[in-house]
Amino acid sequence: MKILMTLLTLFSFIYAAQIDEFAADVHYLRNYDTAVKTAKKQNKIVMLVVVADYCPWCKKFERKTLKDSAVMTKTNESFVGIVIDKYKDKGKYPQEFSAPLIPAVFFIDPKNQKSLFETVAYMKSDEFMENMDYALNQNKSEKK
Amino acid sequence: MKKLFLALLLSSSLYSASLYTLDNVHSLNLYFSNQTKFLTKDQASILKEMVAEKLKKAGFVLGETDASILVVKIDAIELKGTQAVHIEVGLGEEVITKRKDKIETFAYTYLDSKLLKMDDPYKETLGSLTLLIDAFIKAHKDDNE
Repeated sequence: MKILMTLLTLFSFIYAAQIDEFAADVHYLRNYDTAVKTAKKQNKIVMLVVVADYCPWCKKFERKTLKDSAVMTKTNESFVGIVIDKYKDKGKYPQEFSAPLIPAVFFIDPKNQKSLFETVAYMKSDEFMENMDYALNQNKSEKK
Repeated sequence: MKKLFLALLLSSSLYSASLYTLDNVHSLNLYFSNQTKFLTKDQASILKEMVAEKLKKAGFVLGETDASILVVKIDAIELKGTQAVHIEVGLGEEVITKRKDKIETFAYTYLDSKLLKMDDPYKETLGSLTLLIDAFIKAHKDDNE
């Protein structure tokens, strides 16, 4: 049984969807409810990245921006990252975060699950980090 | 499907950068293919030289072994005395896919093209090719700065 389980785990890892591989690489979650719970517990903001597997700009955003070491560090320090496929994960996340244009990133207050700020389109890491700072400031000013 | 195309169109129009990733492309081999009748050998040579000069000026090293291949392909059909010219610029490379067994294949990792009806085919081909090469250089610079 142990061998079977190990083999199954290995196979599931080998044939994991690219979005799962990406999530594992950047330490993002794949479940919305878990992300909200974790963010509440750690007093962080949910950073919900909406992509689709057909979208080349999303792939570039993942590769060049979200995998950038400075962006990864900032994400893990201040946010709970989660990545979802706009279509394939439909029903597993609130419909209000189904962005008309992708890649999109929603910075969500876990307490009320409302978007503090959102970005649309591919952007380079330095520009994206400015947006991350803006979201953090928005969160601070809403708490005041 | 309509929504998908609209989203793709809107998305691409929002960006000035290229959707391709051109990190670490430093050396190139230039493959120039002229499949038109209107371009003479001399004119084709001038076009090829223009491309090579632009690439060198942008910092690319040309002619190294196993470098990525920059394909410039020009073909045309004549329509009632005018030329419909198709110019394509692509970066061809050996890549390892994410398919089962990580299949290796030759793939275009950058592709841009123009299809134009031209009254002065040589002059307009020169202009359009210049724009395509400039776009490639800009995309490369954007990814590598």
